[in-house]
Amino acid sequence: MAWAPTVLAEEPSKEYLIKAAFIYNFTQFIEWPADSFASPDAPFVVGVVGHDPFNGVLDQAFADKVVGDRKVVIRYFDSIGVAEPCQLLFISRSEERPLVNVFKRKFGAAAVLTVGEFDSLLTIGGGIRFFAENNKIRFEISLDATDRARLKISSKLLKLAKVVTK
Amino acid sequence: MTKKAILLACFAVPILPVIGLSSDRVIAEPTSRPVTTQPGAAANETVNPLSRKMPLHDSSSDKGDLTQLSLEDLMNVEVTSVAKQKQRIGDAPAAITVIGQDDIKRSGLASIPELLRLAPGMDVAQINANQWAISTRGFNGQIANDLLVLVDGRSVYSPAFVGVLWSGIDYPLADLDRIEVIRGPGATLWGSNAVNGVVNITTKSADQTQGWMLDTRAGTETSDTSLRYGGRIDDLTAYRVYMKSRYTDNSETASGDEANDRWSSLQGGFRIDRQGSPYDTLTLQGDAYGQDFDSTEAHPFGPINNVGHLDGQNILARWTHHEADQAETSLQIYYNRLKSDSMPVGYVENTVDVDFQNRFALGESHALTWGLGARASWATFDPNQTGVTISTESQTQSMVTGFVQDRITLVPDRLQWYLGTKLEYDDYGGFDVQPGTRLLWTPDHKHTVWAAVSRALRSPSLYEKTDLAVAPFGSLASDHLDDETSIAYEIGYKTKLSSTLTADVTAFATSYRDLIQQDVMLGRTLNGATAETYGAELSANWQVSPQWRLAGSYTLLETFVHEENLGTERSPREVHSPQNQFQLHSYLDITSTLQFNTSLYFVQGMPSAGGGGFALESVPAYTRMDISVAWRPRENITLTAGIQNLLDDRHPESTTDGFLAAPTETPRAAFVQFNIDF
Repeated sequence: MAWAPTVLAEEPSKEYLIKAAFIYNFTQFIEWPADSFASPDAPFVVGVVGHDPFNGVLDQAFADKVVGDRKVVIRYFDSIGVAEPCQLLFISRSEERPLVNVFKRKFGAAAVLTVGEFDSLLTIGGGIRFFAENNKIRFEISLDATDRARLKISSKLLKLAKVVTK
Repeated sequence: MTKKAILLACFAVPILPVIGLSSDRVIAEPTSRPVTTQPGAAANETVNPLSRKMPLHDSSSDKGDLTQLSLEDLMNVEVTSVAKQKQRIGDAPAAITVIGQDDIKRSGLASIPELLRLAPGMDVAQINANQWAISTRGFNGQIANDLLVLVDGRSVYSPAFVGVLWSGIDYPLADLDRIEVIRGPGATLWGSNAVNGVVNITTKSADQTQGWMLDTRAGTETSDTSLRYGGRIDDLTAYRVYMKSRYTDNSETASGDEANDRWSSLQGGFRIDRQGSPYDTLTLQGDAYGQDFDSTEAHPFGPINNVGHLDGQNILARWTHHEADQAETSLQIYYNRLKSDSMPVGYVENTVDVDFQNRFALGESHALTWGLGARASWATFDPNQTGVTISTESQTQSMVTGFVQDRITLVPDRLQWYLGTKLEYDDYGGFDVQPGTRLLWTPDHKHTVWAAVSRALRSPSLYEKTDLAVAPFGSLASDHLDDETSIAYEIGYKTKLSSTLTADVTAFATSYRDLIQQDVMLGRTLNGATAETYGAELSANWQVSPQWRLAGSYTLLETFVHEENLGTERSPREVHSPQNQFQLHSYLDITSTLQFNTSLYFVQGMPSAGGGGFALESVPAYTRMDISVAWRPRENITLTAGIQNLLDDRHPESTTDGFLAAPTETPRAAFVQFNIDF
């Protein structure tokens, strides 16, 4: 694309195809506490808050998929203020600044896996952060955050992650 | 509308370049998608779209659904665009600023033209309560004709007015997604009239504006109220409708008396976004507005009071088919109508614009974009004041355009070369070429260096091309006019000094030839002037702490104009824009729900100048300070209070430009604002 569009156009890039596939995998290698669901047949809710970088590929990644035996629902929220309860919440870069001060209060001990890609995510209390290394996608997990959310993470996932503890 | 503006309007031929889709590409517009997707609902195809349309490594790869890959495999996938995605702005080989929703909210500013003050390098001078002179890199004035402005891909550069009617884009500010300001020529993509800059205003998609929103402001100068509702027609289709009313009170004259420049406006519109398939997005949007505004025109025999009415309607449809990273096709069509009954000449202008654009990757190292467009504009003029003679009462203009650009990767992730050109054919000026080339070097993720050389042109307006007579001002006979041409050389450096400090510096030199000059003394309009501008723009952003951010910029501009028959006088063009500008913004989060924002602007004064029958009075330097406090008692409610122009009672920002509106002074203003989503 031309110079300006290349830089600014938001599109479902390969990067986000991969990240969507990672997020799908996270749901398969992490166990959520039973009380994080409203009812035994409640769906597994994946939320995206703020500007959506996936441009639809997250829906595709979870199409026809289940987590445990629950159906999956993808929901999009304009801001953290209007976000509804979910099990996994992808926090867009656009929400970094609004969240800096309110993150811990907002999520407390809720059984939510927060996922994102901005630098300060784990510092302010987030769960899993994507980062890039040699043009490949890596992720780091904050055990403080996942413990607080009472999530059980499989050793396979931990083995591949950069694990961060305080 | 002012007298000269009307004159310009009546004589202006619609010579708009075809812009449109290329602009839409710059507007980063999130694809609409369903808010809730049931399993399986997103893709009904029997073949998983990921495997069919988005191959992982190469087209022969039939791995299918990426979620079937193991974690280990996922970790071995090379994603070359990672760095780019992370620093999109930083990677642009151009001087770009994005004003986002956070900046908009924190500024406390009440209109789109006012918001452009936030962009480094922009020259925003308020003429009166309803008019602005806005440009970048020189040659400012009410009819600043070197800046192209688009709203969601639709040009608002009025063919009749030969410039931008800033009052006619009174959108609810809370529904704007972003304002992108590109300084320097954009003609290779956007065509004629993108000589010194391009402003892309994007509204949020219908998906991003669901539910009710009420935004109301009461102020000593401006009071406005916006109401919006967004809903869904079905899982794939979202919509919104909105209405905004505004009343901006008279500003003040130099002596502190009330000026005559009230502005009232009512605007409404809608937008529908449909995700036809995972790859196809359809957008249909439209707006309508009506406005009344008072003005006082400077006149050799004393000021004249006018009451003007302006209304406009537009509708736009766009289809985007997005296949993969490097492949996209889009088609856009819009219709735009504007009607003004201002004195001394009313006019109606219509524009239909169609644009097609496609991009694809060619091998590993070429990314090609090309497009075709066509535009037709027609206008009728209605003299409604004695003494005005118009040689022609209706005009049409049509043009076809094409562009092609290749982004060549010389060294992956390090060095890229952009080479492209715009081609235009219009029924007056004939065939034009506007090529440009850019080089982008990113030695690592912290540093970006770029350089560009671009040719851009501005087509003569009908006003300039027509013989005209306006009693008692005299008459002008036009030569056969050529396009104004310019060549711009730019070099820039962007750096992320640390995780909290970024800086951006751009230097430019531009030479202009065949500038059109209206010489009232000679009674001629001719390609009589040349000019050079030099300058630099420096901006920095510092996140001092998680709660406190500082943003500042400095702009230097030197303008040299050489006009025929000017004698020893200084050309007014030379002093239209300030030589030095400085601004500093402080964004402080006192608590998580309480913000305190301060903006400080210094704009150097402009000396008087005259020649060719026009004279400009000097404008003194001014320092403007705005403060605002925003409190968010609940996540969906924001209360804001602020004072603008805190440091002085009033100051002028602009000067009389020939027959144009007599400038008034910008007074101190206070406001309170209430915003709720429900």
